[in-house]
Amino acid sequence: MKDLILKYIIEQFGEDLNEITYDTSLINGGYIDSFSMVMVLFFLEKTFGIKIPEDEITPINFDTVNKMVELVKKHI
Amino acid sequence: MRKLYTFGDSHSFIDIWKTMKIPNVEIVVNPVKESPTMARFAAAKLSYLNIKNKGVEENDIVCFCFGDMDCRAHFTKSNNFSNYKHLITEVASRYFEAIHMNVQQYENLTTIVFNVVPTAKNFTDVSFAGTPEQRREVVQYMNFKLKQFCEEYNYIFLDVYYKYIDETGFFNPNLKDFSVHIANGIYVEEFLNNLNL
Repeated sequence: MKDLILKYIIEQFGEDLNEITYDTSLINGGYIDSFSMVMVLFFLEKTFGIKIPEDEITPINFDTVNKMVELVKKHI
Repeated sequence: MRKLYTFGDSHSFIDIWKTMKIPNVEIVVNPVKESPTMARFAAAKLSYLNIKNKGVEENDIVCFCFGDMDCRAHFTKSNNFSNYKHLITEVASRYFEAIHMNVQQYENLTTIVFNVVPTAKNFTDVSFAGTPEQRREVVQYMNFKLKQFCEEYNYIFLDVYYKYIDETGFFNPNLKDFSVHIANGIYVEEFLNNLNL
């Protein structure tokens, strides 16, 4: 799961394959903005067949790959 | 007198709404100020915008005006443009879910979805991505999907796109402001008056 999310993030938002890790701050680091966060949300929901509640769609929950993994695991 | 509430990005509170004359209808502009993208509303739905908290009552008219920022600055980013049709379909689909969640709280609302206005070729004050031609292509596809979803949900698609383009297919400079908005609301007013609201 972790690698799948990381691969998607790198493909969509990374310029250098080595610059993004599981703990890279994607929002504060300027890799993703609020619009891109929604794109990531759609990816997670479709890929893992989950529905993330509206009140959990927050920048904090989407800031790193590790946090996204935690979020997905909560809803699988 | 019925009230028509506009909700959305800057297109929902431009001057045309304040000067428009529609018999027996009072227009109430109601901008959503925090990051007003269609994608944001589509994802967060009622927690982002709940018209129940905005004064809307039974028999009112609601008009949703989202999508310009998405088309102008996001779908045309290089990492999105190659996949824009899929992304727009996804976002627009969820946008209509968000609208539906709002309007189903009422027995009788008239629901209008505003088209995304034509692409302006020249502006300097707002962010954008891609070429003007790419932005035009994205806006046209977005409006195609908005029309399709309006038919599916039985909402009114406020479609004045072709009234506001010039012979090049871009926003007619005579009908827009210095930025990316409609300055002359004549065709919007005409459309709404034809609905006999």
